[in-house]
Amino acid sequence: MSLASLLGAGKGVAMTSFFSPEFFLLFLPPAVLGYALIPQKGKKYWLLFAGYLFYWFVSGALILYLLLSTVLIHWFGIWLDRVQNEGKAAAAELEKEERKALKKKYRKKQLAIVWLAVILHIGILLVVKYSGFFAVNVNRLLSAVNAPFSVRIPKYLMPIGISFFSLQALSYILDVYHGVVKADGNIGRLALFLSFFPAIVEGPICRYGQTAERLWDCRQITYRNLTRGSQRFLFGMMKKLVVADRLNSFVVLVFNDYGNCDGGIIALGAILYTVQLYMDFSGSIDAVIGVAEIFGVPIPENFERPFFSRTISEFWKRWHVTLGAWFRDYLFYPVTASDKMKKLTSSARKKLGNHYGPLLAGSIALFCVWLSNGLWHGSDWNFIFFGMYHFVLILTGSLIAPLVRKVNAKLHIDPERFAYRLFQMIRTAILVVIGELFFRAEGLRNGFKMFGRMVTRFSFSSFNREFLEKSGLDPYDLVIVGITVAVVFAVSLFQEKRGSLRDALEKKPIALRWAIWYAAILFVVIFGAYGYGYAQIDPIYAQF
Amino acid sequence: MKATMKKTALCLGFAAGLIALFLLLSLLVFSEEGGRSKGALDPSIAGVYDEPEGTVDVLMVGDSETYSSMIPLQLFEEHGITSYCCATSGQLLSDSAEILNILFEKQSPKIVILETDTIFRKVSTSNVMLRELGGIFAVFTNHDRWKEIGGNGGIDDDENAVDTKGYRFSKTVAAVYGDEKPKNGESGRIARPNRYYLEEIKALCDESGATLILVTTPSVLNRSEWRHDRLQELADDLGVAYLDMNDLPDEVPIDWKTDTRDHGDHLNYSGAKKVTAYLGKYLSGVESFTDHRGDEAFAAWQTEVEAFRALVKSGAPTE
Amino acid sequence: MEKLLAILEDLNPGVDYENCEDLIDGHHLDSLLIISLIAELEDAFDVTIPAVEIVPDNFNSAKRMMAMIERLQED
Repeated sequence: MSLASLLGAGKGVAMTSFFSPEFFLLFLPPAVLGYALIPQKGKKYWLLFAGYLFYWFVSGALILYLLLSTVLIHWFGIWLDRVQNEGKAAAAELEKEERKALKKKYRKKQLAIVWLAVILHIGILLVVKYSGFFAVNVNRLLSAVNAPFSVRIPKYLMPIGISFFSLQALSYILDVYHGVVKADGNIGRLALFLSFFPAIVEGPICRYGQTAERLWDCRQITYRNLTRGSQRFLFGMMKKLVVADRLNSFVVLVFNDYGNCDGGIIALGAILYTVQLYMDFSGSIDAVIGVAEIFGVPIPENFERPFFSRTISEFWKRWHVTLGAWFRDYLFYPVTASDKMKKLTSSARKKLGNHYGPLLAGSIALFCVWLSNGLWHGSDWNFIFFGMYHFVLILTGSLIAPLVRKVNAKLHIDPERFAYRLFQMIRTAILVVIGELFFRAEGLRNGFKMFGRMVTRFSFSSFNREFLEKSGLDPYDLVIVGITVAVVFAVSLFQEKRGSLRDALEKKPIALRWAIWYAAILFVVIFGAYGYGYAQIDPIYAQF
Repeated sequence: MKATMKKTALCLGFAAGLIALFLLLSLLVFSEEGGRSKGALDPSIAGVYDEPEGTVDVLMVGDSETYSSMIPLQLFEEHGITSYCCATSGQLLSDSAEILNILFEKQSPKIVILETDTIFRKVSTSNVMLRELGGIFAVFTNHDRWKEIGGNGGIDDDENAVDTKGYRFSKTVAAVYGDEKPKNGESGRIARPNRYYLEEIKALCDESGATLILVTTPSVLNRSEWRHDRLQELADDLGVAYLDMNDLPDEVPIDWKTDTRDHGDHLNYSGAKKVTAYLGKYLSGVESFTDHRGDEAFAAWQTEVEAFRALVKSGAPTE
Repeated sequence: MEKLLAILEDLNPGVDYENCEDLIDGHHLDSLLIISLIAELEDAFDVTIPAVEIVPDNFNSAKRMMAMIERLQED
C-alpha cells in the first residue's frame, strides 16, 4: 500500500489524535527529522509547511478557513497599525487640549476596525458552528405559533480547530488594538502562530506576544528537548490510552441508555465521564506540549491539577487554563473596565458597600463570559446550561464569601486546616461532576432526566454482570484504571508540592530513569485500550 | 561533537533497548505460539471458544447486520447444521480477520459467511499500522492477554441465560418510514485497507479449507445498487460466491412493516427467521453437511434450541 | 503602601499581603475580587486602571500593585 493512500488525505480524522500511529509514527518523525536537518533559515518554513500539511490531512479542503482567517487578521492588523501611526503623527503636531480630542477620534476609528475584524471572525464561527442550532430553534418557535413554513437547517462541515484558531486570531488583533503587541508585517510569522500544528486541533490557546516570536525563531532540536518532550508525550499517552479510551464504552452506554440505569449507575457514569474527560483532554494537551517542546517551543499550560481546587472559581483557573484566561483578558476585564460598567460600579459601591458594589458590574461581565464559554463548547442548550450553572456557582461563591468567613470564625474553624481544605476539594469535585453530567448529556432535557434519576433512584441494583458485559468494562479494566489514576494522582501531588517531576528525575542516575521510561512505555503498550476489540476514540475536545 | 555523538548514542541505545524488550515480551509472554485465546475475543462472542474442537460447521462474521439476521439455533433445528455468529457491533474487516485467526485453531468450519456491510466500513490507517506492527511484535496484537491472569477475563458466565450462539434476539417492531433511501450516491472503490483484509480473510479460509461466501442480508438502509455492483465485482475478483438476499424477494419475503426493529436498518426476529430459513436451504445446496440432530455429541445444541423456543414464546421483546 | 495593605486586608482577609508574591498565580485573588480591588484602588489613589493593566505582573504582590499605581499616577 502506498504511503499516500495510507495517509488518506483529507479523510484522516483519526490523525487528530496525536496518539494514533499515523501521527506519531508516520507524520511526526519525518517532521522532526526534516526540521533538524534543514538549515536555520529554512526551519520556520518547514514548520509552516508541516502545519498546513497536517491540517490538510485532518480537514482537507476546509484549510481554506484557516488561510482566510490568517489573511484577514493580518490585513486588519496592518490597517490598525496604519491608523495608530496616523493618529500619533497627527497628535504630535497639536496642543495638549486638542490632542485629547484627536486621540479620541482615532481611538474610535481603531475600535471600528477591531469590531469589523471581530464580527467577521465570530461571524464565520457562528455560521459554521451555530447556524444549525439557530435554525432548529427558530423552527421550534415557528411550530409553536403554528406557522406554515419552516427554515431549512443548514449543515456545515466544521473545520478542525476553528474554535481555537479563531480565538487566537482575535487575541492578536485585540492585543494590537490595546498596544500590547505591535502589528506584524510578516504574514509568515503570523501564519505560523495560527497554524502551528501541535496546538491547532485543541489548543492551548496561545498569545501572540508570548509565542509568535519564539516560534519564528526556530531553535535547533536539542537532546534535552527531545527527551523531555517525549516524556511528556508518553505521560499523556498513558492518561488517554490506558484510562480515557478504556472508560469510553461504559460512559457511552450510560449516557445513551440512562433509562435502563439506576441513579447509582448514572452517578458512576458522570464520575467516570469526568475522569475520562480529564484524562483525554489533559493527556492530549500533554502530547501537544510535549511535541512543541521537542521543537523547542514553550506553550502555555492548560491544566494545573484542577482537582486540587478548593472552589469552582479556582477550578476554572486550573482547568482549560488558556480558555479561561482568554475570556478573562478579552471579555471579563474589558467589560468591567468599560465606562458604563465603571459608572455602575461607583454608584453601586455607594449603595451596597465596597464588597458587593463592584459585584454588580462583575456579575454582568461574568454572565457574558459564562454564556460565551458555554456556547463556545457547543451549539445546544445543555452547553448554555453548563455555562450558567458555573456562573451561578462562581457568583454565589463570591456573594457568600464574607458570610462563610463569619461562620467559620464563630465555629472556630480554621480554613487552612487540612480537613477543611479536603472538604472543599471534595465539594468542588462533586459540583464539577454534576456540571459534566449536563455537559455530556444528549441535550438538556436528557440531562435533567438523568439528574433526576440520579437523585431519586439512587441504587446500584442494575449493576450486574450483564450490564458490565454490555458496557465493555470488566473488573480488570477497573483495576487498571484505578492504578493509573493513582499514578496520575501521585504525580499531580508531587507537582503541587514540589514542582516539576521531570526536573527532579533528571538528577537521578541514568539506570533509574531508563527503567522508569521503559516501564511507562510497556505499561502503555500492554494496558492501552487499543487494537482489536477497542474502538479508536478521537480526542473529545477536537469536536469543539 | 563528542557531546552530540554521546547523545545520539544514548538515543539509539534507548531505542535498541526498547525493541529488545518488545521482542522479549512478544516471544515469551504475548506470543503467537502460546496460542490465541478466549481472552482476545469480545466478551459477547467469547462463547464460541468453548465449543468443542471441530464441531462448528459454519462461522459467520460481520457487524450488527449479521447478529440481527442469522439464527444459528434455527439452522440446527431445521438442518442439524452447527454454526456460530461471531459478529460484533461496528466490526471492522481487520477484526473479522482476527476473529477467524483465533477460531481456526480450534474449528474447521466448512463455510465462512462474511456479511457485506462491514466491507464498506473503512479500516483506518491506524488500524492497519497497528496490525502490521503486531505482525512484527506480537505484543501489540496480544497485549490484552494480561486479563487472563485470573482466568475468564473477569466475567463469569451466567448459567441461566440462553446461549443463542451469537444471535441477538429482538422482537421489537419499528416499521420503515416509507421514504427510506438506501445509501446511494456512493462512488469510488472499496477502500484499499479493506481490500487488503478481504484478501487476508480469503487466504485464511483457503488455508483452513473453508468456503468463503459473501452475503448481504436484507436491509433498506444498507443496501444500494452501487454497493451490490461493487460486491459482485469483488466476489468475482476473489473467486467467491455472492448472495444478495435483497434480490430474492420471493425466497426471503421480508415485510418492511413488521420485520424490522429500527425502521429498516436491522431485522428483528420475524425477519431473521425468514433469512435463516433461506440460508439453511442455500447452505445445504452449496455444501453437504452432516445432520447432527439426534447425535449424542451434540445434545447440548438441542437443549439450547429448546431453551430458545421457550424464550421466543415467552414474549420477551429482547433477550 | 499602608493604604494599599489596608484595602487588601479589608477585601479578603487571611492572606499575608506584605510578603506574598503570587497573589494571582496562587489563586488568592479571583477575578471578582480583582474588580472590587480595582474599584477601591481607583478611588483611593485617584487613578484609572485600564483592562490591559490587569495582568499577573502588576497584581502578584502588593509591591507590584504599588509600582503600577505610581506609574499610572504619573500619566
